[in-house]
Amino acid sequence: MVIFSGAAVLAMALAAFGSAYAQGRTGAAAMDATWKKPEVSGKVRTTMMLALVFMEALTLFVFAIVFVLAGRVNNEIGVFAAVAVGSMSLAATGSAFAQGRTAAAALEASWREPEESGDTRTSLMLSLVFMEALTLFVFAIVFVLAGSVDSTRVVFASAAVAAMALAAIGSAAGQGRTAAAAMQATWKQPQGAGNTRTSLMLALVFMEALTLFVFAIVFVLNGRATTPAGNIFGALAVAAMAIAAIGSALSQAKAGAAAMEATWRQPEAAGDVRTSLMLALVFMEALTLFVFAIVFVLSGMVR
Amino acid sequence: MDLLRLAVSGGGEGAGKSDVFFRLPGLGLEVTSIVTTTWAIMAIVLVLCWLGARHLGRVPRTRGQALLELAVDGLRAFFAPIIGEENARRFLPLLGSLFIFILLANYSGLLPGAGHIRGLKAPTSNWGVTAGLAAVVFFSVQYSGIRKRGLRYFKHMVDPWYLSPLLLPLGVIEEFVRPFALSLRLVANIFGGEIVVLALLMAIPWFLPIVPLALELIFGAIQAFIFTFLTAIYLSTAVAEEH
Repeated sequence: MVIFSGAAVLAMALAAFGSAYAQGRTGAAAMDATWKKPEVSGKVRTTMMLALVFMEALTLFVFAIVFVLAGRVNNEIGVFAAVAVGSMSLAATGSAFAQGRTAAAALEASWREPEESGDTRTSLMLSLVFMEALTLFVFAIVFVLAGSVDSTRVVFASAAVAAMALAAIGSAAGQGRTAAAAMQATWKQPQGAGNTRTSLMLALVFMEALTLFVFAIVFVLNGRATTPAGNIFGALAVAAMAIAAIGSALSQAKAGAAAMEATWRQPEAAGDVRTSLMLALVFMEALTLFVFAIVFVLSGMVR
Repeated sequence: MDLLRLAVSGGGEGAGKSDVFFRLPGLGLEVTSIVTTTWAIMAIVLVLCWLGARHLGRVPRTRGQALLELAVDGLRAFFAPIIGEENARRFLPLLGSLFIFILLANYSGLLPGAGHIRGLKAPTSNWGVTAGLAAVVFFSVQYSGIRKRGLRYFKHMVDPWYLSPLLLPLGVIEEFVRPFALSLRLVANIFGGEIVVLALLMAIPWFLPIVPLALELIFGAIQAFIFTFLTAIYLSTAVAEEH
């Protein structure tokens, strides 16, 4: 209980720090927009409030998981509970940083191109939901594992939630970079806003999927992690998946951001750019899927 | 600490055990404080609407009709810039009901004694209730999308076609993640807010809890706002034709 409680307060602090950082960035961008274009200040304020709510919610998710686990924690799973709240706070911080970056870019777009501010806000909301979902995936896996964890698979369960958090951070970083580039593209080339949003949504889905692959492998391995060998193999396997997912997400972000820039610099080529982007994303996605496949095959052989 | 433990168990699965008033005959469904509060909110809304709409005229002659028109027109004017005039008119019954119910449900948790006296507990502090609301949103979005666009509604999941093996499962997952996030965001905010008030009440019971209580007044409205706002965006993207 003491390990869990200590971890819980530290986790809350980290989550609060992450949310605060993102809210600070959003607030500053809103102030900036307000003096540069006073006539859009009403719209800017609404956008800011909506974005702040999302970042606030991230800390509350950590709060909620602390309460869920506090009802079940005992000496047997104390380590798992401690790692779980820590992972939640890491994921929340990652999501918050990405949301802050995106919201700041969206607020800049809303004063530079006031006519498009409604569309920009819709794109921002959809992006924020994607980034928030990453933390919710960690929430879900903690919830699922808390129901099945016992002393035989505490090693695997702890590694699994930590790996989920790392994958979520990777995906969030990638989504933040791509979404910020998309927001910039929206005001640099307002006519292409619809095209940009389609490309952005596709890119976000790809990066979201990377975390979901880790989610899936945790599910698969959880049933087999009751032996010591299965425990250790499972722990290493989810760590491997997380590393692969982070690598894929960061490279997808680079490609995605470059595609957004290409779209506003040469709007006529938007269709070609998107096709190339899709192909590039698929290749990077496949790299993580190779790890997924090998883990899946080998997990059947480990006794 | 006992109070805090009570709150913890109130959020977990042990919730309804001591809180069941009676079971609905035939179905065996448990009626808890959350259900009775929901009924009360429904009754208040229904009675107010009935009172206001008794003597309808083309030009509002009664105060009730004027107030109701103010509310309905205000909601429509709020959604119109986000999802367009036509969509705002079409989806107003759903969006307006969601907003009014969630707002009153959030505020019901601020009434004195809420959560401690039997029969009064904020419905939106229970995951089951918010999950139910999110399920309504999920089915409304799918129904509106398919009704308006037929099979083309699914086009975004298989476009471009060579990516469909990847996009199709991800698209399906995303459709489920959205209502999941909606429900969890709402319940985490309301339940989390209650716990913060409770913890401060136990630490310093004089004056200090006024601050989080005042914040809850704002957050309760913002959460109702963001739930309906996102629902509006999901509905409008579901029925939107391709660019």
